[in-house]
Amino acid sequence: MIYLDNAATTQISSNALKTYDLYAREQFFNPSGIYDVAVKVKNDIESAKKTILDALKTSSGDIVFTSSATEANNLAIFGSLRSNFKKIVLSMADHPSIYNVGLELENRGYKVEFCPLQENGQIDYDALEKILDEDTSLISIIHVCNETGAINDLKRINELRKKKCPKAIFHADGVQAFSKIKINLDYFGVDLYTISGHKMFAPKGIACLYVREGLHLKPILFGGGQEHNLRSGTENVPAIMALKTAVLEIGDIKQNYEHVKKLKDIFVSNLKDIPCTINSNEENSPYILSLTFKGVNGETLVHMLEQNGIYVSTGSACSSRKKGNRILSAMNLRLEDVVGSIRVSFSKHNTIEEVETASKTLKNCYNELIEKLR
Amino acid sequence: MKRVILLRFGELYLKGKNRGYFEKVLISNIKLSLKGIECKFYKVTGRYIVSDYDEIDETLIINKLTKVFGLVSLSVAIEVKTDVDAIKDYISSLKIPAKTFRVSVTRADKTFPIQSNIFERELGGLILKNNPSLKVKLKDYETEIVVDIRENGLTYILHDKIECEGGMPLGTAGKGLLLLSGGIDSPVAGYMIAKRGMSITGLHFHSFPYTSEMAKQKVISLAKLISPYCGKIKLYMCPFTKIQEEIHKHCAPEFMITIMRRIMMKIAGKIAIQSGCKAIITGENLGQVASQTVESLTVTNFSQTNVPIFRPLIAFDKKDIINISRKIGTYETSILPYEDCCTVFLPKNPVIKPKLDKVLKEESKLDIKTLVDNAVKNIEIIEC
Repeated sequence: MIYLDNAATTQISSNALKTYDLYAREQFFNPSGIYDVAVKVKNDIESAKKTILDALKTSSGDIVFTSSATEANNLAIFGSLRSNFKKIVLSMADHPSIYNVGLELENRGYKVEFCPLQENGQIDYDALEKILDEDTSLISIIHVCNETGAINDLKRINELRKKKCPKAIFHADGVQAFSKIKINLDYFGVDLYTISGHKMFAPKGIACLYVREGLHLKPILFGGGQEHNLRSGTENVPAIMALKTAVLEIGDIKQNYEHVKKLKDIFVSNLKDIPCTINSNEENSPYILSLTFKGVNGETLVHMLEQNGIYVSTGSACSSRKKGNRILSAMNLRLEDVVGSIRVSFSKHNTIEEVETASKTLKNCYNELIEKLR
Repeated sequence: MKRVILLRFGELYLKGKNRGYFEKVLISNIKLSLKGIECKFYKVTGRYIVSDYDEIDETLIINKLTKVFGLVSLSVAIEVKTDVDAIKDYISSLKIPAKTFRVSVTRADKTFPIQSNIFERELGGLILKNNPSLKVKLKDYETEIVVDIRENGLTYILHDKIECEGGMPLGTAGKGLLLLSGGIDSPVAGYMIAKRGMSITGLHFHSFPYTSEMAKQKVISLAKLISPYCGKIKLYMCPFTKIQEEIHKHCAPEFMITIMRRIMMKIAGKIAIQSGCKAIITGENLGQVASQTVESLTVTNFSQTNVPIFRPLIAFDKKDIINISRKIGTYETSILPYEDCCTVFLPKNPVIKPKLDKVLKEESKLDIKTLVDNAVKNIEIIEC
């Protein structure tokens, strides 16, 4: 099997699984308990927070563990929301867990604006500058786009915020960025930042939200008051501790980046003889590669690769229902090109051999399909 | 005193020589639908009764029984010993959340000491005492309290009738082969033919890699969704990719769909005979799409003549089909956006009124026998 759908999820690492097992079977105590073994577990959670804060390169702030990045994104937006909020600014590149929150806020009567994208998939900074004004109360922009790998310049966005709406809260969804590109939250100047466990070899069911020191969120779940009252519900200790292990295993980000960049370049170069457009340019995260093939359905290519034991994902849900893809369309791709797109996403564990095989197989599949459809 | 569920079955088909057979099948279907739920099931004259169940399972039992074809209605009833005081005691305790009511007494047990109409008045009086704002209304009442005094020494007191599906007991009209596409219509067609007593085997054509595993799973889900009505369905999954590619390669594009449907029907004819199905059932509907004009249906019919093709939805409006689909719970699954094999290789201008001679000429470019045999050979069978 060659797995190239790492932006969808990753395999849990052996050490993360061992940690999970330890906290599920031996250190299984409820961290709210007042006896010694429970207190130890509580302290272990604190140490996990510290590890994550260190990895985010921030000296202050807190980590709130959630069940998913979707929950963390919802907490970031709904938890920030105040009745006097006038305008919320999101982007067309955001994940559905932000984008659909935006649509819901519109339904509830808030003014929500979605920043358009440039053709390279990054947000249009000039447009953002125009959209931001003193009425803007909250900004949320995805750090690395999960469809194209486009990296949004958080520091530049923060500069615009300081200039146009210094009081606005700034959230970034860092699910596809954390552990893959260099991050320094203090440098970026974000108030809230989301990361997800299962995209980086930790288990599913664990994610977290970084909250800048001094920023007060309101909870969206009510109950036992765990996580400083911000996220009630017994902490998922095994997953939290497994996430800590996965964070400690990130390794050298730059070195991993170079390796994955090489994988992406080999993949792309092996497709040069066929009519294939690369929707992810040189500045994008090399971990995500969006490709458009002329005259075919991306879904068919995905299934043909699947027959060869190679797993990638589509860029579009389904052609017959004209669902399309919001993000690719926002980059000015025509619908027929959106239908012909696929997403290949790498991990640091993928090898050159895997990528050589996958890209050559993809090329053969494309040629075979075009021949059949002629 | 205990709660029981009283089942009524249709009278019409229970007359004549076949009564014993129909009833046997109906009883077996009822028992099958209650499998796994602890309860007793027995017959009293003209009724079936489910009793001795845990009250927590009552809605589940009702839910299952309303889907058993052949049952007309059911009611939750209180079973008491046939005794004037016991009946009166229970009736006196009733709180009735309605404005108007009537009491109806039926007395199969002629030894019961009070005449029906007199007892009705007595019981009505007791109810009024406990529900002073309630009014008696013999016609157009909101609630009817039925006191059914049976010959077995037991009396059933009930109100609120729950309608069941009606129809004929599943399995009394043989077995049919349902072509399940994954769309809205075919599960509805299956449900409707099953309501006439025909049990169902399913056939689905898939075109991997043009269609996905998800499209296949969707069809399996649909087969499972109609199984409370149609029983467990054996699903034949037939690979269709090669056939579509060959048609696309050799035949004029406007005939793609016509030829595809004819080959599907040929395969269906073979499978029907192999699996003991006496008919092919499709969700086709007159004029809904180009391939469902009377000319197209005729040309499709001629592809095989061994097994009749039943089209229960032929004269239905789409909105009526959707309503049934919602009622039987298949709609939300049917509209999931996965490619089905009909959307692949879709020509821009399909022939709307195909002529058989032209179709046969196009088809002669294909080795249909080999294509059909290979597809049949590679069928995968799934028990849903």
